[in-house]
Amino acid sequence: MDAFKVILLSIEYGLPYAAIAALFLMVIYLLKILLDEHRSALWRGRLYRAAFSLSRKREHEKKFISNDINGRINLARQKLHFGKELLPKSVKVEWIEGINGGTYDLKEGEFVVCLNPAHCQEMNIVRLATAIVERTSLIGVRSIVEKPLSRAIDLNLVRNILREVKDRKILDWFFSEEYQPSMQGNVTLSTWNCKIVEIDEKGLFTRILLIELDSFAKKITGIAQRPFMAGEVEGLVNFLYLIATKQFGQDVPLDYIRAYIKIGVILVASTSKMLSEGIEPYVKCLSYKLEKRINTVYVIIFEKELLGKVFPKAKEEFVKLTQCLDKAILDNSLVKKDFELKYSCIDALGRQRGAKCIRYTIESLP
Amino acid sequence: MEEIFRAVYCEEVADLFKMLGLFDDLMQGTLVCSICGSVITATNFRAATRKSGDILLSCGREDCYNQFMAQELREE
Repeated sequence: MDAFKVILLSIEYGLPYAAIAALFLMVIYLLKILLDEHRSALWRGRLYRAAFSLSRKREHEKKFISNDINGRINLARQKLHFGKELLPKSVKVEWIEGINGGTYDLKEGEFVVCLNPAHCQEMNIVRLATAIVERTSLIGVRSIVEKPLSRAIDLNLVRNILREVKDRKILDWFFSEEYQPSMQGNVTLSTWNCKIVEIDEKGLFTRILLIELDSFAKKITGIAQRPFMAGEVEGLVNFLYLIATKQFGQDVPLDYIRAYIKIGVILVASTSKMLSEGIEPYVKCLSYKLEKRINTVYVIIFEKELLGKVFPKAKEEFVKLTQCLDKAILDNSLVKKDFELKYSCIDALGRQRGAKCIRYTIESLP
Repeated sequence: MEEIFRAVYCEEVADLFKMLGLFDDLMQGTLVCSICGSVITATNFRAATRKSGDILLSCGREDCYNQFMAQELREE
């Protein structure tokens, strides 16, 4: 009887409130979708796909294809960080109107892409992801960098975007039709690709390599291309590759000083060193880099998840010391923090690991 | 900032060439890929752009399309 009363009461009072709350949440969710250009494109795409499956009209099919591409690629792109910015520019697919009759004036620099029917949408997404990467990445350095290296960078950037689309069919198509065929019979491309993959797995691809290539491009704008410039870019990739594949206790160069690229890396990886010696060695390391007239310093800190489980206090101390290190670095009036990014990477033992990449820029002395 | 791509449905490629005034060239097989030089047809057409007033085309080969998008065009 009591239970029956509770049900009656909940129907009388509870359910209307629950319904109102659910309705309210739904309105907020719908508003969020409507206000987000890319999410609304994704939903429009879904609606048009449903409409197309019922009507089989080309108009619905085309709207599904363009909205789905715009929504999925742009949402994936938002998850990739190019330092403190997003990478690369957003994509917008617009169908050429009045295709059956009339004229069309292709404007200077405008691109027309041929898209496949809806049942080949994975192909369309890969094509547009490739197009956006080719059109917007490596600007200013593409003509300097040797082709296999630029191709390896592009392929990995496309792979990163498609991975964020989170559709295995798309990734499978990309790997079988583009990624692997590109590598076959091209030893130079495969070699560069292996290096880029290692750099990417350690989280240094979009956070250091692409940032430094962009910075390099800005520095050489308007300067005549010289052969050593290509060497400078290749040297940077090799430098980051050595850091990415560094084994515990192995010494690798942590400074890369050339005509235009002058960067230093401070690795905060050893817990025992940090806990026993404090931040002093790292601060000294920075002073040493400043003396060498380095203009950018990256501090890479590997998180201590395992340590936190076994010795939580030691982990706390480690975190505090890394914060002290950040303050000590910023105490130098020449140093400015550009960005601080948390990410996860794969360590030398193949484990997923949390890490932090902080970029400091150094003002040059007059 | 966004990069706008104009799209054409694969079955409407011939109509696009009519609109561009290139349909006769397409039919005669005089249009070539700006990267590899192969003849462009309604079925192997992948992309088009205009550079210095000229309309440039890319065929369906992935390598050609990638280079075309990166504007690594043949100098002819």
